[in-house]
Amino acid sequence: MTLSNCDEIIELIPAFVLGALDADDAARVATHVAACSRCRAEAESFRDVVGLLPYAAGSLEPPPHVKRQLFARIAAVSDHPVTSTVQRPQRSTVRSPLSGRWVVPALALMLALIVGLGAATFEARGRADALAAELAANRQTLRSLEVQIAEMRQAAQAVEAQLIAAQRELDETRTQLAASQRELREIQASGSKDEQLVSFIAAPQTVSQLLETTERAPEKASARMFMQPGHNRLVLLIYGLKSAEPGKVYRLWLAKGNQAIAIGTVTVGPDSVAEFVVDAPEPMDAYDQVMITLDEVDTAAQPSEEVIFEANL
Amino acid sequence: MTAADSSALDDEALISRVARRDSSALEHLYDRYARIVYATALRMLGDTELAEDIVQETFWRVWRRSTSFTIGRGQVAGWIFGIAHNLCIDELRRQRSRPVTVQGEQEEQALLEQSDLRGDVADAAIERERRRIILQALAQIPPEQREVLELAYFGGLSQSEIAQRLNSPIGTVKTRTRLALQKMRDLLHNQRIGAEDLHD
Repeated sequence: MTLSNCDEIIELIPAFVLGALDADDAARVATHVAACSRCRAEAESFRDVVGLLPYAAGSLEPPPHVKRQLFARIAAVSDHPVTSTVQRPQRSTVRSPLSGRWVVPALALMLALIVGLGAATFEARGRADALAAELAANRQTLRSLEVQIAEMRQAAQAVEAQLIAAQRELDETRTQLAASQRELREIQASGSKDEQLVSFIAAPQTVSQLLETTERAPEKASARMFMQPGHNRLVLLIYGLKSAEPGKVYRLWLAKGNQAIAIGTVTVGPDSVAEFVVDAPEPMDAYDQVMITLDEVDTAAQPSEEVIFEANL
Repeated sequence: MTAADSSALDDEALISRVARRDSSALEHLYDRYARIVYATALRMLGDTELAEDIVQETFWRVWRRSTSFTIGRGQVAGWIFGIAHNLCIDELRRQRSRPVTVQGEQEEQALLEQSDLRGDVADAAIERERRRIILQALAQIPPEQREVLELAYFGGLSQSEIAQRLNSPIGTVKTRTRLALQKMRDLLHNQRIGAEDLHD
């Protein structure tokens, strides 16, 4: 053992003999002291002092049952007869109500009870400690589980919120999709209409006629009509016309003799262009005149005086 | 040998007889030291039932381990008290969550007043004398050293736990512990109270 080791250990010996070292240090000191006579002597000199410390706590007689239980416990495991005075039955001067032949079994029973109680008391305390420790561990586990449940509930709430948000997003997407589909259908319809329009206009039997503008027509406004002899269909393309004022509409009239028939209203787009396709009640050959007027919305019986375009067929 | 005969024997003779399975010898050791063990356990644990268990377990271990006691290597009383002290520390460490009961000087005085010196007259006289010696020595060391000694022995606290409780550096606690025991050893030596005087 080196000197430095001894110096280090000697510093720890007072705490060692007081039982105030941690387990690792205590084991280290114990190992050293067992091998080093100098340190062992130092430890012994302190042990003499520590051996007196219990006297500072005073002196109290333990209850008598402690001693009884101790010696009952010893008797229970001893191969030799226990010679302790506490085990020696005191012969009573009062005759026992038990007959002689029952005394030995009764004493054996009492002894067994005492032994059992003595051992059971200490074991029960150990068991109680173990149960208390188990209970504490279970409480800890329970607290831990409660925390986990709270965290899981929180997570579930977050997931639910996400689910609701996703559902809302899905609904919005579905709405957008429906709108897109509607738009697509409209585009397809429009495409189909345009296709029909082009097809009609480009047909060899189609004839066109430019409508005359009146003084009420805007400058640069023009209107051309396409039709096929013997057919009811009429296609009208208008350029440079402003949208009708509120409460008014552009209305297409076909006249046969003195009778004018309202064929439909013409809607001008934001680009000042209007495309109008309609099937007249009779083939276009049957009509003498066509005109487009700016009418009040609710007056479709007679064309107003406000004629924008007109032409004789 | 009768119980009356063995009561006159010193501790080493009694422990030798205990090693030979003489329960009456153990009974005399019990009568001699159970009161000290009980008072110490009560002071350390603050619970009568636990203190009773400590007394019973201590002397049970004396009975079971008497053959391992080496004559001339320490004193029987110190050995018995050491067993009891270790059991108390184990119990205290089991109840880490519960506050440690450490009684102060006033309570120490109260313990002195409640001392029960029944039993053998000679044993009671020796016991009283040992108590006087240790209290006198404790009174002569500085209070801060006595406090550390008290917390270590009766409180069952480690040095790091004492440092934490007193809010002091661990080095200070170590120094106070060492100085306290050295001073106590010197005081007892100056009074010519050697191991033989103290332990029969």
